[in-house]
Amino acid sequence: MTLGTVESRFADIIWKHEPLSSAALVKLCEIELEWKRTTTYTVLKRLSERGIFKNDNGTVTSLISRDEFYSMQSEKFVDETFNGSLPAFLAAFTSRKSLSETEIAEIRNLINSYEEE
Amino acid sequence: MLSKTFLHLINVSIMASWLVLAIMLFRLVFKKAPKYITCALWALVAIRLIFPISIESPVSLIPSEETIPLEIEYSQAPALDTGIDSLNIVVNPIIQDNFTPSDELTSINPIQLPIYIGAYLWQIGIVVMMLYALISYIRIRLKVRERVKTEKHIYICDRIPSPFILGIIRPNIYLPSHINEEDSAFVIAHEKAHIQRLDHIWKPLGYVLLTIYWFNPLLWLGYILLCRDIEYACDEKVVKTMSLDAKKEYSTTLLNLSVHNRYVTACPLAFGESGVKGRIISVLNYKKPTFWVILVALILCVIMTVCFLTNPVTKSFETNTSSPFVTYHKGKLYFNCIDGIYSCDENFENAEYLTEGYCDYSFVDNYVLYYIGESFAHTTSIEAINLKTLTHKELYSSKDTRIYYLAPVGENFVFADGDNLITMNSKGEILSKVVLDNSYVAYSNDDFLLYTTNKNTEIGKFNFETGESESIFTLNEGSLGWTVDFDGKYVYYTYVNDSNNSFCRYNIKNGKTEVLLEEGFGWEFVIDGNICYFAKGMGNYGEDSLYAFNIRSKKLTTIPCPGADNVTGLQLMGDYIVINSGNSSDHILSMQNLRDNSFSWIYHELDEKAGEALVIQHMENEKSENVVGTYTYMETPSSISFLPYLELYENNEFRFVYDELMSFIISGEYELTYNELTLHSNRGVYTFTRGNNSFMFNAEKSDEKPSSVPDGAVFIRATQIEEATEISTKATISLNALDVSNQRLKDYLNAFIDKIYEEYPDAEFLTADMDDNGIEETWLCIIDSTSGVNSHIVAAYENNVLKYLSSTIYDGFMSLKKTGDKLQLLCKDFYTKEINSIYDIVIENGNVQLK
Repeated sequence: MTLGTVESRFADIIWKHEPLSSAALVKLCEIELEWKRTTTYTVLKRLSERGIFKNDNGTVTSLISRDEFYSMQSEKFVDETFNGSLPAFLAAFTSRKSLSETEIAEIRNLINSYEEE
Repeated sequence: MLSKTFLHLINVSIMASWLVLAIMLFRLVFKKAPKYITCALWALVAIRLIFPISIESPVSLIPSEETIPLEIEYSQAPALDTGIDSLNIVVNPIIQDNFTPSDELTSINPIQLPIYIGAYLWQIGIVVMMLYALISYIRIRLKVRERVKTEKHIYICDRIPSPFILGIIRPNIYLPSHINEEDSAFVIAHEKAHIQRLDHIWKPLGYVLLTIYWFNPLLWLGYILLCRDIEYACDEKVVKTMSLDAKKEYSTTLLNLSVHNRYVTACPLAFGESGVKGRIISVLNYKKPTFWVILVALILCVIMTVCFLTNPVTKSFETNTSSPFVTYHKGKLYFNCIDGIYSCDENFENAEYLTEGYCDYSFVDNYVLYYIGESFAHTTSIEAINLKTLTHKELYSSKDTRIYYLAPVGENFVFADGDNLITMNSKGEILSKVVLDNSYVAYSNDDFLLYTTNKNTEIGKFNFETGESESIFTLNEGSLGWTVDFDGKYVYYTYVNDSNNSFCRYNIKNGKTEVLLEEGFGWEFVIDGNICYFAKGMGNYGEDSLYAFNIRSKKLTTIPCPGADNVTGLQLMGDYIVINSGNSSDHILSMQNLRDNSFSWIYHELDEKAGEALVIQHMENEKSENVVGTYTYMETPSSISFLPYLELYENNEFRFVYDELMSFIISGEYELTYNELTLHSNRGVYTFTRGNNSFMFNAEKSDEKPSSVPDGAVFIRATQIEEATEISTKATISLNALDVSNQRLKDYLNAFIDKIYEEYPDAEFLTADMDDNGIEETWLCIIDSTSGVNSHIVAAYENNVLKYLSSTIYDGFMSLKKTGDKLQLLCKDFYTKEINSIYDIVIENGNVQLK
């Protein structure tokens, strides 16, 4: 079970203020994260589905406490659910071609061994 | 017109493709060149694609401006012009084998269907490309809702694979939350560089262009390379000032980010991308490009701009007037001087003497330019009238030298003043001046020009291709007039002897001279098809007529024309003849409409305002300059003495004429699909079924049923008429009353007579004059008596009007005889050649009857 940075910020708000009404959560997220109501609900729903929080008739509470959660979390977040890629018209940082292990090793070697001529 | 837009875009994209290829070559050769230069080159491609119209230049490296002619749908022999001859030779026979229209009148021109389908697919492609962009945008927008701000315009998101910029006006940087602190500094530097470089605008712009030009694979390649070059250029900008260690760290960041990305499925757009390795090598190897590398790259850049952003020069200078002063041919101007003909380049430089000879002067297109002076031989100023605004002004005045050779050069004109050849624009500004003697040329076409020698006794030909001149013919006595015309077979000229002018032509094939009009011919003439319009010319004061002389029938018609006094020049402009007349104190320009015989003053020194009505008429007439096609209905019922026709213009307007009366001319906008033509007018809708170069009237789907146009009437394209007529005569169909005062029918008639000449070289063109109650009638019966077996009357021509046309088969030879007021047909026996029967030719119900 993992949370990304943004999700953690959101989760922290709940852990800090729970129990709280969903309306209050929307308000808090609007102030602290500049989120819209729908965004708050989307993320809340997703984290509830993962079994971290629950929304019971407008009252948001946690199922797993903050300490419990961080002791459970072992690996860094990698969003494997992202399917598709960046649209072609965006200016982005990297290319979208995946690299094999040997290629990575090769390039790393290249960088480390590079000397100014 | 969708197909036309599509064809146009294909042509534009082909032009842009040449540029893409050139840039690819540039990238290969100049690997070391700063990448921002490459990006600038890609911008040239965008300019090419956005502004399809560009300047022409002789150094353009684009082979062809219009690879696919926009008229290909209507073409009898569809052909491409790739600009590369050897390629044309290979490609065009294949196209013509597959796409030449078949003979059946109602079938669709086979090339229209693929173009129609192509245009349709193109639209679908655009929608798909737009949908892809829209869906991707919405998806990414939804993802970045869950964001946390770290700095102004910089946000962190969990659910994005890689850092990117979103937004055009207020671009925001989005970073994935999984990247570490060290990496993010570099990433932000990189993204900020993107924003500074405005890449967040260029990339979507590139995509928009790709959406429109998606059908061109080279542009896809171009887009992919552009995306790559943008990243290289951006890396360059970031690492420019970095130490080696910092570069290594930056490279590591590039690698780290790629490692994280390996779960991301490759985008279809990403094929062939060299990826991160290439960028890392380029970052590590980055050295500030030396001054010389930048300079050379920049110079090449400028050269490419000039060579690929300009279109190849088209022959825009080319004039179709019968007597231009200056002729444009393949980048060179040819003109006459007192001592002969010269050539020079387009800037009027590098003049070269070619051969002896000279010719006459003429007018300039929509501007009517003319000289004013004390006398014809002493013209010292140039005045211009803009036919659109009717404004009149003096453009140029010389003190004492004679001005000659006024001629159009593009939108400007050229003339000679004494020893100078001057180009000037319509504002009267001198553009260039070159020192020369006087100049003149008699006739020119694509291949050669004709000139008269300075003794007025010889006509010569100068061949552009070979640069050689040869004498065509020389007069033994008398002299040549100053106007010469040529129709591909004959050289027409005025023969002057003992102050009598006769109209002659010289057959360049067999070298025979023929006198067409023995006496009373004028100095000035223009030829339109078979009709030679002439004016008595200079020195003939008090004249008030122009003359139309039919070269075939030898019929001479007088056209009342108040402007015909002391004419010094005639010029054909569409349906009008422009007349330059008067003398120095009373200078006149006027126009005679040949279609409706109306006359208008353009400029009269005594009455400068004259001619306003003319301008309106003239503007209306301009419409016909952009005719896409004229279609005529040939088989009208016998009660109607007029051929209905349909004219389609480029701007989607049409003219549907089904009666001689103006009130029955329908105009409006038309719509053309691959199988139907719909005319929308304020009188209602008219529908035609589209055929191969023809349209069939569909009365059921039309709001009106004109009596002259029955359901199923087939309108045939003008160039097809000849062919259709041939079929008609063979099928012994009688055509009815043809009104020859109509220009279209005149053309038709000429084409028809040519056809008969060709098919029946010995056909007799017999004429007989009949005096019937003082009315002069001229008959022309065309009889084919070649074989002596299947002789038949092909046509009867009366009083300049072809009224009767029938086909009747007889045994034996025939001839015509006029007895009293009767016209008789004599039939001779095939063997004995004795007359065995005589028929009176009677006209009944519009048909020729024999009794």
